[in-house]
Amino acid sequence: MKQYLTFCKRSISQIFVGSNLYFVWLTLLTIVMVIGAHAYAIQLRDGLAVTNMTDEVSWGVYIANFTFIVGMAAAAVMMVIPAYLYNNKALKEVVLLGELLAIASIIMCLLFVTADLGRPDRFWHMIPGIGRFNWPMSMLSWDVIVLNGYLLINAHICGYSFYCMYRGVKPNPWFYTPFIFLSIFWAVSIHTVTAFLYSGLGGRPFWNSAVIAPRFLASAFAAGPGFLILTLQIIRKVADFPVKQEALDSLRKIMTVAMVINLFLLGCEVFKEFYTDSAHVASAEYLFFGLHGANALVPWIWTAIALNVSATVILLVPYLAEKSNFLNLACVMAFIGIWIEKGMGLIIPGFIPTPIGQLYEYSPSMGEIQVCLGIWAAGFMIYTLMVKMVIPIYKGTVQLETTK
Amino acid sequence: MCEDKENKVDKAFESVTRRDFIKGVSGALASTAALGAAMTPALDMGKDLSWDEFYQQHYQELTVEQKEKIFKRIEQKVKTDYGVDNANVQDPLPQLGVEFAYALNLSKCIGCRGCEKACSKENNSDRASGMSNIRVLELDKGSINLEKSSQSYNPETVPQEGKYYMPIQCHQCQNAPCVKVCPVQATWQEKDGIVVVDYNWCIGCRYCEAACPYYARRFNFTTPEIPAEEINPDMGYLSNRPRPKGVVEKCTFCLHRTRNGKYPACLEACPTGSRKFGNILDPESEINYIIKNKRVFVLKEELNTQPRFYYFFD
Amino acid sequence: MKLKTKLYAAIFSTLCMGLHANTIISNEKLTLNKGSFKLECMSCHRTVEKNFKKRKLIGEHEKLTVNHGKMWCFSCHDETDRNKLKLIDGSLVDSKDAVQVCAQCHGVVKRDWDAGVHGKRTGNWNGEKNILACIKCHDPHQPPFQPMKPFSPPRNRFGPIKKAVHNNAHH
Repeated sequence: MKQYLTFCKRSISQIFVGSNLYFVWLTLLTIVMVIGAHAYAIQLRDGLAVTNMTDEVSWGVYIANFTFIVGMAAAAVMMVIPAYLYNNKALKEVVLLGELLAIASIIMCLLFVTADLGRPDRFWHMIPGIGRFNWPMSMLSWDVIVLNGYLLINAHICGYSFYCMYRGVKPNPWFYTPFIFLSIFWAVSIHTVTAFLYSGLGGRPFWNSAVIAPRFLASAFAAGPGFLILTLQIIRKVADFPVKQEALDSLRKIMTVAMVINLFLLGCEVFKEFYTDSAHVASAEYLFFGLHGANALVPWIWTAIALNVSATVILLVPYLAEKSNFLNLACVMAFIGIWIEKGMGLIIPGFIPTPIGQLYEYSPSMGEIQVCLGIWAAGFMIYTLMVKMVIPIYKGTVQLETTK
Repeated sequence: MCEDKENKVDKAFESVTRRDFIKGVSGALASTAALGAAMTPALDMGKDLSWDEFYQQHYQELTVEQKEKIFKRIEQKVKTDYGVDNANVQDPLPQLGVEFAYALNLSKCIGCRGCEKACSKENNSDRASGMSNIRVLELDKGSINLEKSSQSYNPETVPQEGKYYMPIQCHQCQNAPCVKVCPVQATWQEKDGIVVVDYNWCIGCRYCEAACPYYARRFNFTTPEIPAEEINPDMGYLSNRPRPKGVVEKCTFCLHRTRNGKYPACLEACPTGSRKFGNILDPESEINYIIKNKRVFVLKEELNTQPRFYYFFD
Repeated sequence: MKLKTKLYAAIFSTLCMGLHANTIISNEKLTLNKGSFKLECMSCHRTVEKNFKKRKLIGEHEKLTVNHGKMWCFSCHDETDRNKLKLIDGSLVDSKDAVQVCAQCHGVVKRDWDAGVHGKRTGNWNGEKNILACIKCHDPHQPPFQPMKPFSPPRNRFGPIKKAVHNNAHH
């Protein structure tokens, strides 16, 4: 027990030391977090009136970001599967960094959902036992379970692995392997359940599509590895941590396949909507071409498509994809493209027109944007601090000396 | 032995970085302080939230005595918030053998929006945003494509040539998507078919708003603003008492009226008699006659929501 | 002195207002109100000759528009006792029983009305009701429900909910 506390103390103390660059980065994040916290405090005081959401468009950027980031959390599985099922050595060395990303992402998800609540003071109504949890009927209750469960699973895997690494012992497979397999299943479930939140609503034809869950997974498995490719390179550089090129290559291949599948599924959806040309095409029409003069999302979605297509082209041409500059560009483009496509591009048009045909557009208020930026900064902060804690353990500079 | 070693390593480790370490810790403390300072507006959040309210249990778990206390508390709050001292909060219960249903005659409705306004007034809805649980759609004759409807029509007189009008409110679906999706069971269907919301249990996630195919739910972005002289003092706990900020509300067929035998306010306001209401289990009722004898349909039947709100033609 | 002035004033105002006031004819009671005068039909029609021809109405009925199918005054009003309505079989009914007159042609509507399905009813769905008779809502002389100014369009907390140009054509 004492040993474990020392482990905690030592690893936590790591976050207080670092280079100037590290502190500049943390300071920047803190500033954004402070702005976001202030905006959220105002929202707590004045209610969701400070947002631009309405009864017409009752979910906005909070839920859009939430949806995207659930994907980031699920994407860790794209490192876990090759690392453990296919024994990809290069990925196995860095797989825990991916799982830390999942932890940071889940915390962001929970923050975004909380930010969206009209009565955060009644949060306890959702806690099984003391509240009244509408499980299994409500997909949102499923989401609460799978997200928190995923957080716990990954926290356990990471905590236990690093503790073993710190002690220099091999992890006991009984405490480890079952959770790895559980996390694979669970990662798929978090994004599937999140997709079911939308696709289970018969009254919203734009979402009421079986392809939403596969699309979510495909886009997550593109954006997540894309983000990890960038992050691992940064860690390699600033922390002088040996990330093997093979690891990046594996992620790139995964990302390439996922990008293609994502574009294909998007194409399927677009075909179905426009070729059928039923009354329900209105939302898709609003998104892609504008409807009756309402066209706020049109530039966004075409930007997203342009970014996704360009990223896919780069990834598909080996000559380009193997050059790190192009690869990084593709990762950035895919990340932004998917963020638009499945955030604003999926959530907002679901509300436009309303189920009884009204067109009312939405764009976030300054307060909403600040809260979102604050949560993003908090996510980066959490991830940075966690990586800062574990890199010395990886490198062996922080470890228990057991040799007598 | 092992621990001694560990302590040594620990000390060595700390001595090297002590200065940086203190610098880092103080930076972290400063950041935390800044975050705390930024959050100060939130201190006002609890201003109008009492502990009793915070801990209040779900409606279905309250005892009669607890309810009485809560109703008194709400009456008091109406007094302080709106300056009205004759508020009377009641909780009429569903009657045995009664299932409510509504029918609306599309051949007769002229689209005057009288029901929309009456609803707002009866139900103590927010006047600042003009909230009403009813919306009236104008449609082209020959079409029932709601996506082509208009709510903003404002001609000199209604009805307009070539148009027909379709008021929409909560359909009190027997297979209600809103009830299904609520993560905390803050909304449910009562024995007489009315879907209600416990305004003290709703967490304001607005999933029900997204789920409703009839645009029948409203969210209170602010605390409702109602002039004292317009407050309707006959209040139902599950229906028209002034709602708190941050929760969802909906049409309850005016249960504070209808469970006491009266017609809903929208029906009373309709100048054309297009609106019909009653107990569908009673074979002698108006509503029963309509179902048996008129050409009746429900909106978005394909969604299998099984509404208790019917439209009919002469 | 003062009393006298008041009395004169009262008489003059009653007369003047009576002669120049707007005529209000009550369909429900078959009376003619003019200022403070309340006249029943026969107080005039006793002396006016019967006229079965469709024509532009004059005098107190100048503003009356009759637009009710092919019907004209004596389709419903009894030509000898103008204070009564008459049924097709010749029997006379009071204006309060006008429903019987309407029901002669509008049988289906009457059936619905009896069932509470046509027309407006207020009060209690399972108890005492205030049932409005035909001519409470319909002017028997031109029965279609008259157009009216609608209440203001709905809005949300940001203002009116305007739908852009209503356009049925796809692009």
